[in-house]
Amino acid sequence: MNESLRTPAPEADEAAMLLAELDRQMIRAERALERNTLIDVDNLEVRYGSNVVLRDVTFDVPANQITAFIGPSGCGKSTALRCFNRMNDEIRGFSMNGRIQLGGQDIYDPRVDVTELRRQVGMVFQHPNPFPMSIHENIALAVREHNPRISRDELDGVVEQALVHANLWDEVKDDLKRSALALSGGQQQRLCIARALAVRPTVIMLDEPCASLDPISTARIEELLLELVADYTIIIVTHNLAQARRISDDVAFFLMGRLLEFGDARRVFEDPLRRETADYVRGAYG
Amino acid sequence: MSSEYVQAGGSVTAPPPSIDLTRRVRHASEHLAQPLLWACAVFSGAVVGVVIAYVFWYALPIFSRQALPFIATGDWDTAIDMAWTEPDVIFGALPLIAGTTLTTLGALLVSVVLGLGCAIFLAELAPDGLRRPLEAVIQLLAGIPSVVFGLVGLSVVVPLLSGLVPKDAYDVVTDIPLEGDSLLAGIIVLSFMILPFFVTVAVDSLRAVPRSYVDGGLALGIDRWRTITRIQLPAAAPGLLAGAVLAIARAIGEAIALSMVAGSIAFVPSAKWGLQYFPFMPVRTMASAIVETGGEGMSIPLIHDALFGLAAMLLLASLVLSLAARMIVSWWGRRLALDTGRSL
Repeated sequence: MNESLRTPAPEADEAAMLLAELDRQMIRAERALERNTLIDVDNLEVRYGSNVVLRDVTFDVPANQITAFIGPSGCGKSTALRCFNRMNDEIRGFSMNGRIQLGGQDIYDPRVDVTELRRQVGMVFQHPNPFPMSIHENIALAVREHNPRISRDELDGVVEQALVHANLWDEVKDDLKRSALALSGGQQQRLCIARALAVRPTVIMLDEPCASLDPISTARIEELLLELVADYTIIIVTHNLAQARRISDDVAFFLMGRLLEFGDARRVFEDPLRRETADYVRGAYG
Repeated sequence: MSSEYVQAGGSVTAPPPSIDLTRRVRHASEHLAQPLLWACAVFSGAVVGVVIAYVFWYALPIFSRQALPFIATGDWDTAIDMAWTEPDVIFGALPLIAGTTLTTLGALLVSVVLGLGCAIFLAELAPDGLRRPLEAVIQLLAGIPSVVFGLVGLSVVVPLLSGLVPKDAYDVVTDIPLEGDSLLAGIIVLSFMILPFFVTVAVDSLRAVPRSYVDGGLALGIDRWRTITRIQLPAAAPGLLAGAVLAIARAIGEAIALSMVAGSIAFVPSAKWGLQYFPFMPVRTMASAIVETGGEGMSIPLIHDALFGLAAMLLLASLVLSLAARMIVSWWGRRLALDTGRSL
């Protein structure tokens, strides 16, 4: 064999790597087009200090679908979620590698306005966290922040619409001045969803939104998500496998900081590719 | 679980002996501890009660003799001088009340504005390396004896202010000489004395706001500063109020430092000559008057009564303040938590 072929020049090596990378990107771009990808995660690695909590995470979230993140506690699924609205920026010691694109734009680009990103990527937390204010003000506050010149009537309209979308309007319409903290847990969580909807996001992320709710409230939230997915892209972190099975289109299974399996929900639950996934979905651990 | 106990060998045995409930000799300390703690608590409570009763009891004569003029008229310094020889003197504590009120409100304003900025920085923005030393400095500030504040005020603040007194003050303000030791000097020194009390409580109450409120605000795309001012500060408001009340309570009782820097003349500051002269007017506070007249004057019954009158007013003010603060805090807490919501 020719000597030069066996030990290629460093430039050739580099060029080959570049070509391979280009090729990979092309394939991803085609796939993104095909799948109508909204969020594209490429080779994500997250550290808190020197502690690596996520590595080699690559997947994509299609628009107008429900994508569920599952996995045992501490597997990194919430961390992944909090990368998408850059809430991890608030955590001391956070650093990341890789790339996350929203609608083709790198969200960690220094030119990105984080507040605008967070408006577009709404988030609902594990425990309902309405502000200690009236129901009306809980929604109006953020709307006014993003649109300071909105008129009183318009604002009332936005508040009503958000509450209607969150299936909460009928329960609270008579007393919007009531403190949000007086609502039940399920109502509070729907208020938090309404609050997120009111600023017109593209994506709604929910971090175990039903963890502290009773089964009836949980069912109402699930119903709501199935309605909302027509207009929004939804990502939900859940411990509840039955819930993921009921409502999600795609499932991402995280284990110990890695994305072990990603794909169509039915496929992942019924015919998982990996043994760990199979063990987890049949309840062997976690 | 089975009710029978099976030994290793397999034979069934009786259950283990029942627990021994008979009285044993206990350590002497155990006998003593509880009554002692009770005694401590009762004694402390009793002392406070006795002091309050004592002050009000001895304040009775001045109020029954003079009634309203004691708090509504303005003759104090000359009345004190006359009381040594004359048997029937009318005291007017109005300048002292004005002195206490003005220095307290002025210092409160300065320390709340300064302290709020300080507290927000410490609670939310300061990196650890800066936060710890800053907090230590502020706590140190709380421990500095007031006489030291007075001394520093006298050697730094007063000379600085005396250069700022309007040049024509001597011709315009004919009732009283305007110097550096003045209301403004008192406010400045007092502000730094009460600042740590407000800041410490304010930092705690800002930190006590659930992180989830802040996260909720940030996640909605509200920026950091607006999240603090629109969500965190209102949620911390009851605590901030409590801090302000603590600061007021500290301010109204301050005597030494104000005696040293605030002019120490019982005078009701007036803006009738023009606002530019107002800050440089001398004041004397109620607490200062007690300290300055207290020693020898107490042997004169009239002065004795008048000083107890002042003490009773100071005591009443702090009792009312702490009671009001408690009521407002609990009312606010309930209001936030339950019934009517409020718009910001």
